[in-house]
Amino acid sequence: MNEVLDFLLLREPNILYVVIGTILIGASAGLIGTFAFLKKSSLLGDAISHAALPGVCIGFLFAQEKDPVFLLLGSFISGWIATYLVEWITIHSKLKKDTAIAVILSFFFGIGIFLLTIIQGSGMAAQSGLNTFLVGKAAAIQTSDLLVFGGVALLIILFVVIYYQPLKILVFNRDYALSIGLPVKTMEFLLNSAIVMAIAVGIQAVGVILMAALLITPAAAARFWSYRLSKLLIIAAGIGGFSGWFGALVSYTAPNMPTGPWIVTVLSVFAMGSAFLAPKSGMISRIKMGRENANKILVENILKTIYLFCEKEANPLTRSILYTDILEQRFFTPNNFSKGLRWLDKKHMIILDKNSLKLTEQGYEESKRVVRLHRLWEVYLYEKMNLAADHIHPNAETMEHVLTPDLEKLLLKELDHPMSDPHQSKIPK
Amino acid sequence: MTVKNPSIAVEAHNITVAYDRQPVLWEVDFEMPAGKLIGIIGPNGSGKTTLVKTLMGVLTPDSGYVEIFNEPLHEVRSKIAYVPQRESVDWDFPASVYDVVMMGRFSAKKLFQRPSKQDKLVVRQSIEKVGLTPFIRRQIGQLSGGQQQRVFLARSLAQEADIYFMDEPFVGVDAATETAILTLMLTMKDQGKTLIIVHHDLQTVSEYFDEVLLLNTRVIDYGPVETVLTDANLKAAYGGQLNVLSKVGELMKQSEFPVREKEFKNRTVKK
Ligand SMILES: Nc1ncnc2c1ncn2[C@@H]1O[C@H](COP(=O)(O)OP(=O)(O)OP(=O)(O)O)[C@@H](O)[C@H]1O
Ligand SMILES: [Mg+2]
Repeated sequence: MNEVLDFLLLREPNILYVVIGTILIGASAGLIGTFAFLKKSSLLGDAISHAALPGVCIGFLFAQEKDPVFLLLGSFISGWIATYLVEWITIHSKLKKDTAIAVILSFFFGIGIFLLTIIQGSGMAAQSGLNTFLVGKAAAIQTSDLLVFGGVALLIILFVVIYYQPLKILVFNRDYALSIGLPVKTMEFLLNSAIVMAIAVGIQAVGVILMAALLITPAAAARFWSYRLSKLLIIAAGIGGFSGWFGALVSYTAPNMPTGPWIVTVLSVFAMGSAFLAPKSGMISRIKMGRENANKILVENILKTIYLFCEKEANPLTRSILYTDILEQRFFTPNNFSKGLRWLDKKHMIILDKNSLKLTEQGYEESKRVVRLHRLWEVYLYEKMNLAADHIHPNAETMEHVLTPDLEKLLLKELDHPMSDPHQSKIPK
Repeated sequence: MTVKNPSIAVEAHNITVAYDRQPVLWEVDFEMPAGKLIGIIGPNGSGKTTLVKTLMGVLTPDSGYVEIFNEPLHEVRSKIAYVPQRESVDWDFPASVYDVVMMGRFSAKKLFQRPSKQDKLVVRQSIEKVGLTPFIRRQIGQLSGGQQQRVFLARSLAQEADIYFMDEPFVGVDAATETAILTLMLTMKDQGKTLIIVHHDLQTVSEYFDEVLLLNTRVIDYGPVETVLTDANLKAAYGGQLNVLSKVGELMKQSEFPVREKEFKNRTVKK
C-alpha cells in the first residue's frame, strides 16, 4: 500500500521520471495510432510491433548491453523493413495485404524469439532484462533510457501537432492531397516512420506482443465520443497517456507483474466503457432512449383513450372513468397498464381512485394535445398524401408520439386549422 | 508553333497510362479551350477517372505530358480544383461538412497557417451555394448520397480555382439538385471558369455541355456535342468495338512487355 502512495505522490525523483516517460509514451502511441486507425492499417501496426523484436535483439548483440539508442535503432530499422516488405509482397505477388501481414509478422517474430533464445543461452551478464520486451516492464526503464524514450515520444507528439492539417488531408483523401501538390510521398514516409517510432518506444512499456493494442485501442475508444478529428486525437492521447501511467503504477508496486497485460486491460476497460457509456452512440444511452420512447408511447396512448371518454362531457374533469372501460376501449397488457397509470399519477396527470380515475387539468390538456396531433396527422395524410380514410390510422398512431410543437404549428398552418378529421371526429383545440 | 494559344486550358499530349502494364488510356491527345463546360463521357471502365486524375497530376502518365494554361502542372496547381468520385472516399472519417470544405482552403503553400477570416467566409459561402448550410456540423457519413456529392462540390468552390475537374458530380443527385448544380456551373462558366466534368448520362449531354470528349481507352472523338454524338461514334464507344486494343493490352500484361520503350519515357516537356 505504501508503494502505491509513494507512486501517486511521486515521492521519489525516479518515480517522477517514470511517470512522465510512460505518460509520454502512451500519449504518443495513442496519438499517432489514431492515424494508423483511420488509415485502416491496424493490422500492419501489429506486424510492425512483432517485427521489432529481432531488431531489439540485434541492437543488444551489437552494443553488448541494454543501450537505449541501439535498442531503439534496432527496432526502428526492423520495423521499417517489415513495413516495406509488406508493401513489396502486396505489389509484386498475388497475396492479399492481410496475408502478407500475417506472413511477415510470424516470420519476424520467429526470428526474434530465436535470437532471444541464443542471447539467453550465451550467459551474457546484461541479458537479464531482454525478456521484458515480450510483455513489457514499465518500471524497469532506467532514468537515462527515459530521456531517450520520452524525447522520441515528445518528437512524435510535436510532429502530429505541427503536421495536423496536411496529415488530415492526406489520410482523408490521398488523391486530393496529390491534386493540391502536397509532398505526399514524403509525408507518408514521415507518418510511417512516426508510427514505427512510436512502436519502437512503446514496446519498452507494453512489450511487442501487446503493443498494437496501445496503438489502436485509444483511437477505437475515442471514436465513440467524437466525430471531430481534433477531439479524437486529444481523447486518444489522453487514454494512451493514462494507461501508460497505470502500467507504470502496476509495474512499480508489483515488480514481478508484466506491465503489458495490465495496460491492455485498462485500455479494454476504456474501449468497453466507451461502447456502453458514450452519449448517443453508446449502448446504454441507446437502451435508455428506447425505454423512454416506449414509456412515452404507452402513457400517451393511455391518455388518448381516456380522452375519448371525456370528449363529450360538459365538464371533463369531473368524469370518473373505470379501468375496465379503458381496457375495453383499447388493449394494454396488465403490467404496462398499471405501469403507465403509476407514471401518470406521479406526474399529476391523473388522480387514481380504487378502480377508476379522473383527469387533472394538465392531464386533460396533455390528452387533448395527443389526440389533436393524431387527428391532425390523419388530415394531413388524407389531404396531402391522398391516402384512403381507412388506411391512415396506423401511421397516425406512431406519428402522434413523434411530432414536436414546431411541427404541430407547421401542420396547423399548412392544413389551415381544420375542424375535424377524416372520420368526422372533432379536432380539439 | 512558337506562340501558344492563351485560350487553351488543358492540353493532353499523347498520354498513355497503364495499371499493372495494361494500358487503360492509349495515346490520348487533345486541347480543351478555357471558359467552357466540357463533358467527358464513356462506358464504365473506359478510363474517365484515370484521365481526370492524370490531367490533375494525381497519376503520372507512362508517356506523354499534360499542360494547364500552357504551363507544366506543378506551376499551376492552385488554379485546379477537384471533385472526386463519391465511392473513392472514406465516409467514416471523423470530419464534418465544414471540416471537409475547409480543406479546400489549404494549398501546399499555406498548410501551416490557421484559417483566416476570409477563409472562413469563403467556406460558409461555398456551403450555402450548394444548399448544405443546415448540415454544416454534421459528420459526413450521416449525409445522404446526394448531400455527400455536394460536400465535394462545396470544397471545390472553396478552392477558388480556374479549372474544375469533377468526377460524376450528378450521380445520386435528385432532379431538383441536379438543376441547381447545373445553374451553379453555368454561373461559374460565365465567370470565365473552365469546367471539365465526367458524366455518364447520354440523355443530358447535349443539354449541359459545350463540348464533349468521347472516351473508351482511346479518344473516340472530341468537339462540339452535335458532331461528336453520332451513331457511329457512340457505337464505337459503347458497342464493344474495342477488341483489338483490349487484346493487345492483355497481351502486354501477360508477357510483361513495357508500355513504352525507355527512350520515349522521359521526353522533355518543352519542345
Ligand atoms: N488502381 C488500379 N489498379 C488497377 N487497375 C485499375 C485501377 N484503377 C482503375 N483500374 C482499371 O482501369 C480501367 C479504367 O478505370 P477508370 O476508373 O478510369 O474507369 P471509369 O471510366 O472512371 O469508370 P466508371 O464509369 O466506372 O467510373 C478499368 O478497367 C479499371 O479496372
Ligand atoms: Mg470513374
